Amino acid sequence: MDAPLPDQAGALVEQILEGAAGDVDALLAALEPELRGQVEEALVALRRLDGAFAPGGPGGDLQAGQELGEYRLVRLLGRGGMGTVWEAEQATLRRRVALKILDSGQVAQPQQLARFRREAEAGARLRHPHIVTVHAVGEEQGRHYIAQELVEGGRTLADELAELRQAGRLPAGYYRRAAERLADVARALAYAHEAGVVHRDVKPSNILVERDGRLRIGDFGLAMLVGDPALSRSGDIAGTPFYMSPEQVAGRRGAQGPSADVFSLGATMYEVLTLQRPFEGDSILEVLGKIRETEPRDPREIRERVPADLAVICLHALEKKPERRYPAISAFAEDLRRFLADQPITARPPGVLERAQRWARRHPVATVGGSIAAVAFAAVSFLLVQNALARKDAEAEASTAQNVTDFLEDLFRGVSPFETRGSRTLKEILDDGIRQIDQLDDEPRVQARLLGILAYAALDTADFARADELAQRCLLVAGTLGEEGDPARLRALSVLGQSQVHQGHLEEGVRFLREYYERTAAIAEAASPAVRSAATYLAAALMQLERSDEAEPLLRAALSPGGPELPQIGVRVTAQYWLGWIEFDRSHYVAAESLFRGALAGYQQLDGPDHVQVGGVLLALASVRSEQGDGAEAQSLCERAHAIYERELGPDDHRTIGALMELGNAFAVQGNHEQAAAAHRGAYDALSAKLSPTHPFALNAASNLVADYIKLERPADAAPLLDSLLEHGAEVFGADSMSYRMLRLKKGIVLGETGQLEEALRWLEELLADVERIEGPDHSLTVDTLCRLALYREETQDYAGAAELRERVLEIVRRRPGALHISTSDALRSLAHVRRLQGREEEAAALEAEAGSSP
Amino acid sequence: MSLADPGFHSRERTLDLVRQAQQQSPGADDALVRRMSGRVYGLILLHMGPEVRRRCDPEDVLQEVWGEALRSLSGFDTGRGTPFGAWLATLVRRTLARIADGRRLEEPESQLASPASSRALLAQVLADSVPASPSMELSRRETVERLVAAIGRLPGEQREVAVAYWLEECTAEDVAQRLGKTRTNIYVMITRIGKVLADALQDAGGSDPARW
Repeated sequence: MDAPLPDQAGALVEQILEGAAGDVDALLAALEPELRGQVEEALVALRRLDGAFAPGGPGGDLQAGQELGEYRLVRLLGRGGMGTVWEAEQATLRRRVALKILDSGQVAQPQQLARFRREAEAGARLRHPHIVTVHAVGEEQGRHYIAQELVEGGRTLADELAELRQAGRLPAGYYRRAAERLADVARALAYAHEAGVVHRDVKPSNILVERDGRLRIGDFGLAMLVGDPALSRSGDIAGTPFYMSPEQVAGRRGAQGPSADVFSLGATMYEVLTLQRPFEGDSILEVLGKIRETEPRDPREIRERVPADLAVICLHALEKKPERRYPAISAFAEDLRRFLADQPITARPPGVLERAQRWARRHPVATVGGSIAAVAFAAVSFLLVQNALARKDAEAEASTAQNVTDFLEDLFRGVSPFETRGSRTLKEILDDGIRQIDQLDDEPRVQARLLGILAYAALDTADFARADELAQRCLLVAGTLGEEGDPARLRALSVLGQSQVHQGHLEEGVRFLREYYERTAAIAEAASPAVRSAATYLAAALMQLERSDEAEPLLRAALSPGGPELPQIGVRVTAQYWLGWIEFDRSHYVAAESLFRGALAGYQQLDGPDHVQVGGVLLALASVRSEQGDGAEAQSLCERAHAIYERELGPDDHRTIGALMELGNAFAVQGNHEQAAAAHRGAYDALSAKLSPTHPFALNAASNLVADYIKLERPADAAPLLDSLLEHGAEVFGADSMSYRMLRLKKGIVLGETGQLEEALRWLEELLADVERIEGPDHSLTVDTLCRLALYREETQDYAGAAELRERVLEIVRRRPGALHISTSDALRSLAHVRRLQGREEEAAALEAEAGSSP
Repeated sequence: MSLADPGFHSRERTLDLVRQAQQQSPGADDALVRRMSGRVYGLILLHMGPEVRRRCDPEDVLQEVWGEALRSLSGFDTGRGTPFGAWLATLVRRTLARIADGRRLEEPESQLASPASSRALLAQVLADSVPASPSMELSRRETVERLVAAIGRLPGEQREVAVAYWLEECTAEDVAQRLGKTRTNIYVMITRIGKVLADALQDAGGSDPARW
């Protein structure tokens, strides 16, 4: 059978790059089209990569002074994703132009070439004072180029914003002038849209600044000609992430129309107003996630002098859903004009509850203010999620929704959800709310709904007793309503389940959460946020009961990309975290790492970088990196987690101590046993003091510490710990467990290393018999035990006995080459050593010669 | 250069520049720094833990590594077959270890060991070697950061291959020997990894300074 295509492609790439292919063009021409495509794609990819690491690689062979048709290159202006941009002189017209030259035309992929030509075609159709003019498009010496108007000065809006950031203050009249200039750009884009051209990559670095400060939009490099099916087919992500619209991020086909430019100009405007991008992150994925899921801060929270109307205009352009933005970019331009003419703008700020909802999404819910906002958010989202029921009785539902909303607005009046410190504490608000709810006996539907919401607020602030009480009352009232009571009942079940899990009553928590999940699944779509959320809560509780078989399908369903709805970020990160552990337990470390990294980014976004939850994920990641042998990164992750725990929970919390232990393991992986011992000693002492020296956690720490001492050749330090471990370990680890047999081996080593050789031999002989019986004759622990026995036999000058043991080791290693800690050559050398001690020089020499040629 | 030209990943070009720089040919050190800075920057990002990153900027480490490299360049033996990138990787690790140990970036003893004029020369070379504009510099840096992030996401062995081949400028033969595999195995891996990395570059849409 032929090798798979990628393997064939790899072998051909080898021939070509090693110069063994002869006529490469002929070789390529003779290949099947699919294979040829793969080889060509690989060669182009390799060239691009080489060029990316070494400026002056592809495309860098052009030089100032070189002629390309009627253009003479004057100086390099910049390098972009597709090629280089030169200032050039056009001989026939004696004018300076900007010449964009595609990287190495000879190797351009058809898709790249098509994009380049499309850019020229789109740009050439546009003539506008705020759009850079395209003069010509052509091909010379196998290089494709576009000649464009050269904007003197060559500064971009991005450069200007960078300078302003550096200066640290804004000039007088800045915002008004900004509105004028952005209105120009908006009008230019409106003109392009009318001509059927969507830019799709509006951003500060694509907006050039004339010497007089006027803005002109250039680089229609990603422009989509409306109606051109070629570009909308692939659904590829195109554009610069920071300014992309949510629909571009989602890669939704046919959804990247003119409204994408509205969003990107809104993002550009945001940066102009605040000097900050609306969506920032440490990685592209994080930025993309934020574009889709988080609301930008109000520009006035960043710079209070931003005019309110400009902030409203900007945020209106940045609405997540295209249909909620300006219907056309001309309307965006018109609102800017109205602002400049001191007329009322058309965009409206969001209502109170909508603002609360956004605020709650943006802020962690640990603060009192956050909890209040969360309550308001819960009220709104809960009513929306239950629309299945609302449809059955729309009028009654609308009335209930209104009553609930009114009640909450009254309750929270005077406590702004937009401030973290209100005049009342959440407890006072809840007490007040409960008193008022008691007066709603004649409206059980509203009462049930409110009890569920307030129970949720109590849970959110870890007031579990109050949460349980409110949720139970909610269940009672909901029970009187029959099916109508279901939304409130669901809320109560969710609260009770989560509360029980938080209090460590896992079985009870699972019972409530399973009912919550099953009831939710019965009334909502499988892919709806409500069902995904319920599945994740249940799965998280199951995982804590080590019932991963039941949890896994729920977690996978929660993360499933199918269906009309994507998982909410909180659901997603929780599901990622637990699924990460499932993959970890299967030794699928790459998958586990990817899930943990996703969870880490999510928790950081939700809870802030120093939240306890973040510490947990950092430790999970450290475990993965340790298993992958990257002790240095594991160490760094553990240090971060330990710092978070120590700061947030104090040095005595079991999580802080656990992080210290993991840190010790990370040092040990790197072979730094001194520091490993220090960390493990710290963890052991803390656990012994906090729990007891014989508690399983403390014994685990002791076991690690013993391993460190042995590596450090400090058997005397290891001995007392080891005795304690052997005394209590049988019960904790199980007398027949591998962990306990490892302890026995360590005891044998400690005895030997402290000079008690006879005792060590007796101890290890006993262990060997057990290990061979239980693990089998070829097990690595068998080999380790044999090696130690042989060593101590040598030390007691029982060379014949040592040789016999060394021969057994060699046999095993030959049967399992590469599978054990010891290599064939080491086994041969060890045997040679004994033979020499026995005076059998010739045999020793032959064994050493063999060792020299063995792996 | 076309598809038929195998010379685009040529260690020989680098070694040739090293020889010229050792003979103090005008502009050779400049060209060498230009050619290898992206790779060195990538190695720094790859090996720099967050703790070190908190304490110093990768660009400062880059400068430090080049300082050390140019000072000890005469000791690099171009005839031994060691890739120059691998030699630089050793300097990167050594520099980062020094920083991790809490020592300052500028080592007093190395300053004493090098004549004052060579530091001025170094400053000049580095200044001459930056790309034509700040946004080009940013573009180069972002590109390398993106690639290093993509390399970091690769599974263990693929990551090792990517680092050796692209960052340390080892040949496929070197990598094969290092990992105990055949050269063809390595080319098959390089072909696959190359696509992943090029996609990472492509997905980000390149980094356009867009100066028109």
